[in-house]
Amino acid sequence: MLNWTKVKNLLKNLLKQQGLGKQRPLSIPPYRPPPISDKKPHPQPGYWETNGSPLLFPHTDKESRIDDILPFELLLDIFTLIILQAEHPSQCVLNLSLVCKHWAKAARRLELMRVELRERPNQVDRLLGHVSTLGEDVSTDRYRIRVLEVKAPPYRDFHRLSEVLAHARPSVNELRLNRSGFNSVKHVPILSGLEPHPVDEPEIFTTTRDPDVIFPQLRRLHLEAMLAYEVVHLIACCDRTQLESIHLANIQFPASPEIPPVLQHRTFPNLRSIIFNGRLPKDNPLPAYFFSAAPLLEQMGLVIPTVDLDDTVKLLRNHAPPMFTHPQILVKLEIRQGLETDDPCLAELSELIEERDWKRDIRAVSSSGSWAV
Amino acid sequence: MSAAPQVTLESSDGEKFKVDKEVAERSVLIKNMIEDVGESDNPIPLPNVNASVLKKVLEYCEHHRGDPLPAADADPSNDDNRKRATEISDWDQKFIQVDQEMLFEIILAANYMDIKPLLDVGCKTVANMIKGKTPEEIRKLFNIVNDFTPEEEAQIKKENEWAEDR
Repeated sequence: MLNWTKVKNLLKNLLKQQGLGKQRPLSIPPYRPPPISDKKPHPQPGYWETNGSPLLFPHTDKESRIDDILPFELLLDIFTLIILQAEHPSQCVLNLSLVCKHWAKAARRLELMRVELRERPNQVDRLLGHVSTLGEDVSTDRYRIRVLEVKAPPYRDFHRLSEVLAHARPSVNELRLNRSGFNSVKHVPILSGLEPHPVDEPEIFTTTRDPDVIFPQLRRLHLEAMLAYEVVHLIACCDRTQLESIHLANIQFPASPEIPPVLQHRTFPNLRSIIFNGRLPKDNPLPAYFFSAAPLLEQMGLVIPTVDLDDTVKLLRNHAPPMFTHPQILVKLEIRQGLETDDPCLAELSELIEERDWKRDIRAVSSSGSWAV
Repeated sequence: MSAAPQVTLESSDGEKFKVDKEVAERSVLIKNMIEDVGESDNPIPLPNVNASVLKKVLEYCEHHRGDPLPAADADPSNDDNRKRATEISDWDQKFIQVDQEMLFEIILAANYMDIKPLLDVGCKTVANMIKGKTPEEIRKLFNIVNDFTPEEEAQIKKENEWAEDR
């Protein structure tokens, strides 16, 4: 990275050497950028052809420039963009590594950036074994898991997840866990210190166990088909952290009006969005809880049956924080009938949205389809 | 109505460009220099940027003159910031349709002049060129010489086995 102070000082000296303020004003015509043509550029020698159409960015006849020109840090930035978007991150790292020694050096710095655990036997063993060979210096990117995805079903090593999380904990930016198909390992802890929960699910609302793991860098938490006590503990682990968004899909929350003790007195100062993608039991306290615990919350997604529309309007009217702008509400119709546009609850919701100048994002879904309200 | 204040920039090969101060200040480097040195009729030297590249950079700055500036305290470790807006706008795509040498020069100039949105456009463009290609295709694209021995190549594949399907 360039040292801007040095650059600025150098340029200041150059300006002084040129007799700052003593020269006559220059008479140069103002620069006007040329208009950009809509025409496609003509193919030139060096263009690569794919399916008959020219590819842009030809290389010139000169020797390779990318390695000569771009500093290592910029190459790392480019590789980061590629790996974060790759469908198969590990294959992508391998491809980059096999180009040349210089690229291998850069790609290896990012090899653990995005770890995807899929249906592979002993993958956790191999991952942790690999980590153990990397040495003690944990300061480089090479040792940092920034995105951890567990794609199920059926990821076979789910019961080993606590070991992976323990390694990823200090650095992970994004955590995507899906427990679908893992009922057989229901009582295996996913966090060290979070013991198996041997009792019925509703008991989570009476547990007082404090989480002993935090995720200081976690920004996005996406949990699907996880157990409710795991969900609340993982969220509690993000108390006063960078967490920006939570997406909860198909979580079976118990019917209880009480806030889980483990979530009490937590705050989420950077949380902007929470989506409950799955129906919450009536009177579930979590939406109101997040309105209060996340003062910067802008977006909340809720799936509700028609009969709960009235309570939802009250919740939004009475609890939405000042920064809130975007309710996303999916109204689930229990019977095969349309949602009347003159439904008083809907009218009240529309009025509230107009009054607060919120974005309108309300949809209805029934067995016959889904439509915007 | 008074004319917008202007500044003069001088490229490494001595060409001078007079531009609106607002346009020049898309570059954090120039903005800081103007703040530090004060306004002057003297040209601001940019010893690391030649005229043809500076012309392209100014074309970008002129087009984006009214855009909000990126937050100075944006956390570079936040990958979400990088992933966000992975698309490149139509104008930027046309703007960056240049040969490889110019593309890399623009990236370097954006890095040196501290114009983050332009640096992002350049890096995303190179990333899009690389995405989905095999090592051999990448070598051909950038005219890179394979400097691995077969043994070294085998070793790299072995080191990546932890992530592969078995």
